[in-house]
Amino acid sequence: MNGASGIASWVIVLVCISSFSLRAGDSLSIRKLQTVEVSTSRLLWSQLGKRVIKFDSLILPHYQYQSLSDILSTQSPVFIKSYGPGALASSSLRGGSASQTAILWNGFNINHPMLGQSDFSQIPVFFFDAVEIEMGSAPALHGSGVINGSIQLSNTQRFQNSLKTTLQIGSGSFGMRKTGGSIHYSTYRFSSTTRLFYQQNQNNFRFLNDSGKTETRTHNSFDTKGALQDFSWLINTKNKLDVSFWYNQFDRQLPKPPGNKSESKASQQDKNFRSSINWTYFTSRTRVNLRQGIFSDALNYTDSLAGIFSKSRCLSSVSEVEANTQFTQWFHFFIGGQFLLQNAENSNYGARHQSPKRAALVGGFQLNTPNKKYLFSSSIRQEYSSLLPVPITGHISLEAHPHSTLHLKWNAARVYRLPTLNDWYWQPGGNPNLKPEQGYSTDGSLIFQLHHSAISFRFTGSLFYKNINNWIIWLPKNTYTSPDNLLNVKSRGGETQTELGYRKKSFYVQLAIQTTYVLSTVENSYLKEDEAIGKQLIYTPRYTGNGNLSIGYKKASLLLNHNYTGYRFNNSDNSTWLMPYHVSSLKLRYTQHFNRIELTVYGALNNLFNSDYEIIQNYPVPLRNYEAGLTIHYVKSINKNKYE
Amino acid sequence: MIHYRLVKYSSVILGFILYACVKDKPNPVTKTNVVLSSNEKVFVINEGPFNTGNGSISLYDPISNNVVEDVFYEQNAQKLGNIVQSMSVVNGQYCIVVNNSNKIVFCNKDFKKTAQITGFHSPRYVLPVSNKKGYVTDLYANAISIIDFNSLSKTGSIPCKGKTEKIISLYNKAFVTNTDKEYVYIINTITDQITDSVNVGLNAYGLEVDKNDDIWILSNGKKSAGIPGKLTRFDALTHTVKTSFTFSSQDSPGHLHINTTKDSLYYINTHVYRLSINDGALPSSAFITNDGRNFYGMGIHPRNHSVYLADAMDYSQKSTIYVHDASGKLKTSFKTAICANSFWFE
Repeated sequence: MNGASGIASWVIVLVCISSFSLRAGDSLSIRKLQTVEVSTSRLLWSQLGKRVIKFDSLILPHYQYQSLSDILSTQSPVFIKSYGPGALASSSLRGGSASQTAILWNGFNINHPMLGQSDFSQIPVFFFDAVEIEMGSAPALHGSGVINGSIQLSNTQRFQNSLKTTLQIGSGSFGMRKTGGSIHYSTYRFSSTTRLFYQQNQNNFRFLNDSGKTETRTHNSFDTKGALQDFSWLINTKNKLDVSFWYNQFDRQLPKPPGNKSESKASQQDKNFRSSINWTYFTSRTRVNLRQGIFSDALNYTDSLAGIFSKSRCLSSVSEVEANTQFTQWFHFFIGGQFLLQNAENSNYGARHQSPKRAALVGGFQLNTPNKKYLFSSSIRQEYSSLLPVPITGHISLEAHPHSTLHLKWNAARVYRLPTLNDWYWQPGGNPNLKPEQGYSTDGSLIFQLHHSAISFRFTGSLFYKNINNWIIWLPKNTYTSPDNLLNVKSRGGETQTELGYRKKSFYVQLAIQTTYVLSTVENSYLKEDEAIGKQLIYTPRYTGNGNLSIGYKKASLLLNHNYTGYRFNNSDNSTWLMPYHVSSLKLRYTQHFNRIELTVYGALNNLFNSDYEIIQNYPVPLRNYEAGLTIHYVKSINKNKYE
Repeated sequence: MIHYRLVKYSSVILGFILYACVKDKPNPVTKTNVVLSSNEKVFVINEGPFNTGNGSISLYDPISNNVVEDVFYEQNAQKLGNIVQSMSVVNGQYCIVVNNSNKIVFCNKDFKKTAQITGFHSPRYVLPVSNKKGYVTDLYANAISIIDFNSLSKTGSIPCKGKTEKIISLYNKAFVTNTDKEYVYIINTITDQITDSVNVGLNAYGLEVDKNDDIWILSNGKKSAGIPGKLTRFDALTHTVKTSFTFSSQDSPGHLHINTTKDSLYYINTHVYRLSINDGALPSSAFITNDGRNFYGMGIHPRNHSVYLADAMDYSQKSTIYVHDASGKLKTSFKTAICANSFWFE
């Protein structure tokens, strides 16, 4: 193969993968997949019939050096239950619990197997090219714990024959220092991206206590470091290999509630090592993936006052195989299998503890009408667990594109979540008789959009309904607590997203408003005389909303964000609550080019109007604070004559 | 045309949705004036939610069935603190231990705060050994603190590794349980030294003294290790074990109490059990069955022997207190605050 024909072949391969991904996964989507490769087609299958929120180029750059908690809490319908900056931040999506929402990295669920959830304050946005929120269930494709939806983190390998380096430094209030860097090197068949991130924060912010006096948060510092490495090889015209490694370490002090005279000595260290390898075989009609993920999640809790030195570690291995094939223009077929093995070490796990094993078979298909205006897809999953029987699950979804301005989506699914390892094995209390949480969910969305000259308008409206049985809660049992399948919870509500934009030459302005209404109530309970029946779940606001004003002119951009969070009950009988709050932020960026170097200066003013509020009772958040930084990009094309 | 129809149908759907939405602002809690009709008072100690809230003391009037949910806040316009663990009376003052706020709060008979002592690690119970001196057990201090009621300060400590819990005094000795150890420790209250210990089984928490001055200890055991709980009686003078009953390894007994005549013991093991101090074995049938309730605390009324049982529900809503008469029959119930764990009767 000579040089020119070789390059041509690779171009064809790349276009093949791209076009297959588009056809197989999102043929009706109005989104344009501009990148040449999507790491896992399963993600695209699961997004069919659902509302998907993707942070666009007006938003993502402003949050590039923040945590996932920051962007989700201000820019999405996900309510983040944050105990403060750097502290535990878990999610509530569409009225569900944190363990009912999956975090998917390269298609693998990275929720902590022992806790069943993730801490969003530990995940840096900088490590990912794309952050997407899939609203709605996909249990057949992703397995346990995707009842509310999933948050998908992914990177795109670009084969551009280039060298790109980025260096970032930032500083902010309360002793915050952060630095990050990335190196991307690629040829037309090999790509490597290395990302590094480090942040330390004294986090000794001042806040107003219950008496209205200013108090300083103490024993509250944290630091985090991490590295993410992505390799990608186009082995030949039919084979591709992706390998990724991600290490994250988060050390933090755990403060006492405000007003405590004595100092806390508690601290927590989280160490996560994640790796994935993905081999893809593709032709113009068929695609086969073999994937392997290895995950190590360690959590060390120390409280020298309490004499607690708890160490836990969980090793997980996930093996997956899947095959997609396109029989005709209108029929696609999908089949796959998964095998999962977990091994946890914890001094609180009793003699019953064993290493759970799970295996699953998955199948699905997709039907397109010849005019590609209507699409139907369905999938089914049967999982087997060494611990308990697992219900058969599945989903159906529909998409319709009856008019160029209108896009309709609907899906329904049978959903489930398996108990966590702590639910099973924690001593005392772990319950070996737990059943999976299970139920049904459905949601529908309407997307209406208009473009007229420089003006664009887009409206998305969604309604959802979920009914979950065997909801697990921990309850007192004499001298300890124990989990049980006790509740039936019904969640329903709606979301809107409205965007109005104007773009002319190098100027743009966009106003975007999101609203969320969630009614998530306990319908039945096995507790005697349970006052929670008919009441809203705790820390689940019924009403939330956010608005963005984005303005850009030439090399400068501005983002003004405002958030509203309604009443949150902090007791299950809804007898006490926290007051609603408004909080705003202003973010600015300015970029200047010097030949191959791009220099970006950014600044952010958070809690612009000095709002005094609590997300969780007794856990204060900072008053007005700032952050500023500098980013340097260097781009060099390795060989301009070759494919870019 | 399609736009017109879309707007029309969307408006109708939107109208239905808005109509179905629930008002966000909760109805304000209407406060009713509570009239306490007698001098008979039952205080309920409510821990409150861990870390994220405040505990409280509820005041219940058994005659009128009225409840003041947070009597400390009513009288002081401030919250008591996080995890209210226990309450007792010392020199005519209410003495309230606030565990996670690491303090002991003193109130007068009107429940007005008069003082507080801080500087503890994780205080649990206070035992006055004289008008001047008291001991404070602690989860994490590896010591029992000595406090001075006159100067309202911590004056010393008695080293004792592990988590010390309930404590009583008799014959110038203090007997203290320790949930980390298999022993009850005995302190000379004159010299403030641990002088002896008695093996009573792992995870001992409750202790009472009967009419014969025998000490009864209830240990929970360790279910995960297959170590069963035990009920042990020993002589307060000689420290000789007289009786020891062993529970099944599946049991999880707790909350030991004794009546005023000090001849009947009560404990919770899913249900409530009662036994005479002269019984030769553990009771096989329950005195009060749980009937779907989760008992988190118990108290025996000193005059009428009513059994007060606290159901903490899901830890996250108001507790329900069930009052059973001396024969075990349910008399009434009332609501208090979150996580009711014990009672103080006057």
